[in-house]
Amino acid sequence: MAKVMALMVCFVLLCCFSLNFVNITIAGNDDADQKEVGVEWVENYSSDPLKWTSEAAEGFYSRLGEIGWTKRFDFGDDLAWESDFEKSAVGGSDYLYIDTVDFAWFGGHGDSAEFMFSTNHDGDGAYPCVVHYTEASWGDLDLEWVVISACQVLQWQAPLGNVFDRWAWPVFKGLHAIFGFDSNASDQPIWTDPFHLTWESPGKRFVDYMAVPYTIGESWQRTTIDWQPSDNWGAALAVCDTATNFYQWDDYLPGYGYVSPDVDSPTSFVWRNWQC
Amino acid sequence: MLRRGYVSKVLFISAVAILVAVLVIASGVLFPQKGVTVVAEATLPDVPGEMEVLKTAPWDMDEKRALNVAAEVFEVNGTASKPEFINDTWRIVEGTREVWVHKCGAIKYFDNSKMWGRTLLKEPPALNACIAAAEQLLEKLKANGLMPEGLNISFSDVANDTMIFAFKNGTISTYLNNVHVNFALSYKGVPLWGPGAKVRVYFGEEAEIIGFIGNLWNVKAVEAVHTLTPNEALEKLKEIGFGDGIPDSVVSEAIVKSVELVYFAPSPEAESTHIIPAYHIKGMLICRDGGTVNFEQTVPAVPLR
Repeated sequence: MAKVMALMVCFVLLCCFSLNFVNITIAGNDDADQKEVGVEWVENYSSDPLKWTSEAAEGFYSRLGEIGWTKRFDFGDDLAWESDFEKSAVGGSDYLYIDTVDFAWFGGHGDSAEFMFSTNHDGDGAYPCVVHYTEASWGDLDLEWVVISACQVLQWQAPLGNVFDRWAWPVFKGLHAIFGFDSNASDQPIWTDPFHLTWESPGKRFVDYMAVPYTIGESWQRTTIDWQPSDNWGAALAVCDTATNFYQWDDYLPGYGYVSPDVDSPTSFVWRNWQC
Repeated sequence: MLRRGYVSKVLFISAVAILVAVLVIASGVLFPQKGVTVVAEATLPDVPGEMEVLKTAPWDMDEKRALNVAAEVFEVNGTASKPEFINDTWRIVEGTREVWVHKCGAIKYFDNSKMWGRTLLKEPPALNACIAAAEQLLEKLKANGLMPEGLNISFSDVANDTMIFAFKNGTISTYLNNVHVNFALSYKGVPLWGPGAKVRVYFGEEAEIIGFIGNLWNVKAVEAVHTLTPNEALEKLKEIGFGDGIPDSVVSEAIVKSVELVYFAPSPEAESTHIIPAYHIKGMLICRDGGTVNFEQTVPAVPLR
């Protein structure tokens, strides 16, 4: 009898473990449930720390949570790992993190070829502490939209090629759009009174605009104009469906309007910039 | 959501931090470390001993007036749907066009079918025509009593937003989305700076106005206040830090490249009631590890209350 009981306990435990495992796997491929968000941000860079990336990312995260999104992860500083954004072919684990949510946000330093982390979690050692564009392949599971709130990542022309050669052709595998900056971006909140430190999170305002509702691309442009000085230039990069003339930055937030289907192998892209 | 192993790591680091803090307090060492040398390579501006602090007052705006502004300035007829009043802002919508009038005087107008990358200009409109049309729009606002009397608005520059397509066969096509005319705000010759200092008119095909952003603050000088000299501002800079969360302990020297006296204009949707003089300081930090970092900081030029 004791043996039977022990076997039953083992069976139940095994079932629980399996269900848990299956649940994680399904969430990773959950392209139907378009309401999961994850954010990562870095402030504690050793040589050039930032101050406000957490407020921007977490304002975005919290506000989406308030309107019914599932908050999947919020990793900051040493908990933010480059491998979460990198494909498995280079030792990354995007299939467990960034590509298991619909909308992601990264806030930190960047340049035209990469965005940067404060600790080294590079799978193959090729580009330590950064996500280089050659290490990214997004949307083959779930990811639709990503904000890279960092300097110059979406710069039009750069030494390693134009923005399409860097962040479009190698990266989009079902992803709809990347939102970021053509120029530098200032690390600041939306100041309502800098001398008394009253401010609003640009991430929150971005969600507020999407909930009006405006399209995601329009909301990002409006947010950057409210947020950044006019010296800076915002940018967006999206799949362009030339048959329907639809640019995928014109998706609405799910539940607020049209969301275009994934295009796994895009044949055209569109990029634009604007003065903030 | 914590990563595996981080709980024990966090507990360990916390314990070490507490121990260090106790030792530091016991030894009488104070944070933050001072001793950052500030070197001014910039020409410091001549600044009057006193400057006026500006109080912002809400416009006398109600639904009727907001509707008038929308109709007369932007030809948006709000009778098709009832205007909404959300967060102190009147929102008047007609088809794809909308006008937002905030009670502080911030006005936004957008033709959403032509803004936001939805227009590809076949031919850029003539710049002179754009500048003239932008100035006419400001005249219309003035005729509606919406131009700030205390502030000066002057032409600044013309820029354009761009859109580029790439195709699998290697073709790249470039278009303009709009041409826009920027204006600068100033008070008695001192520029307004900050998120609430934008006045901009967007143009589409044939110089059609497709968008407008205007922070038309209604300001009144309330009092003249003793102004910090630029040198005092640099001392203050050492006190408040260099922005971007850079701790003093990391910095060995700050090289100041420019010091500009401005009025800081906050986000137009702010509840702030004053626009105050400030120093906008830019420069470069030399860190103790030999690295360099650009910095930008705003220091109040008058005592804060």
